[in-house]
Amino acid sequence: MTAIEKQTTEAIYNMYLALPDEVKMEVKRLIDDAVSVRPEPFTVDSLIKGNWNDEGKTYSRDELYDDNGR
Amino acid sequence: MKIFIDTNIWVYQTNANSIFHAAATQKLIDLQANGFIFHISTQVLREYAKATTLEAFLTHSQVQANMSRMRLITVVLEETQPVTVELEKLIGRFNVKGKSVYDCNIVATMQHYSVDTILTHNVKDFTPRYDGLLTVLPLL
Repeated sequence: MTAIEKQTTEAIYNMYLALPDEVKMEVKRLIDDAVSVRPEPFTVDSLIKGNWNDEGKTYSRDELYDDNGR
Repeated sequence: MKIFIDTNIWVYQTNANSIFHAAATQKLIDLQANGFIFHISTQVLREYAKATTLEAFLTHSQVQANMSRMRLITVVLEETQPVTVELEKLIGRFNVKGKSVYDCNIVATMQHYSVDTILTHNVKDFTPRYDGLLTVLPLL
């Protein structure tokens, strides 16, 4: 890191520290999001397949949960 | 680009006998090819486990393996306290009742993590209620 890069980085960090907490949280979330590890690629064989008769189920949450929320 | 993949898509994708299996598989491949990064939440993992274990459609080891694989091929969004705060707001704003709370929790999770598109076969669960907050991409 060059001297000017170090100086700039410190200036940005000091600006970050001066932000209100809720804004800091949003900045942190955006950074975490940007540097998060990309998932592995999806392929047709990524998941194990079954073979059942789903009887036209939609798997909506109206079907997935009973009246007691289970 | 982020996209949330709803529970029903994963169930169809892992049931070779489903009339929606080919469509679900192709849609995921096409979205990935177009640069979309798949997102799910811990709620989706729970629902997937429920749907596939209820009548032993898949063995427990197969369900476990698929849940592990889903965590690797997606970004898993955690249902944290800020997500619950978002849920509270949405319940009031959209007058959400009964089982619709579970759909609302998906929207709250997406909102918190800035995911604005969902792929689902159950379009009516999200639109028109949440139009303006998210884009619903239908399976078919």
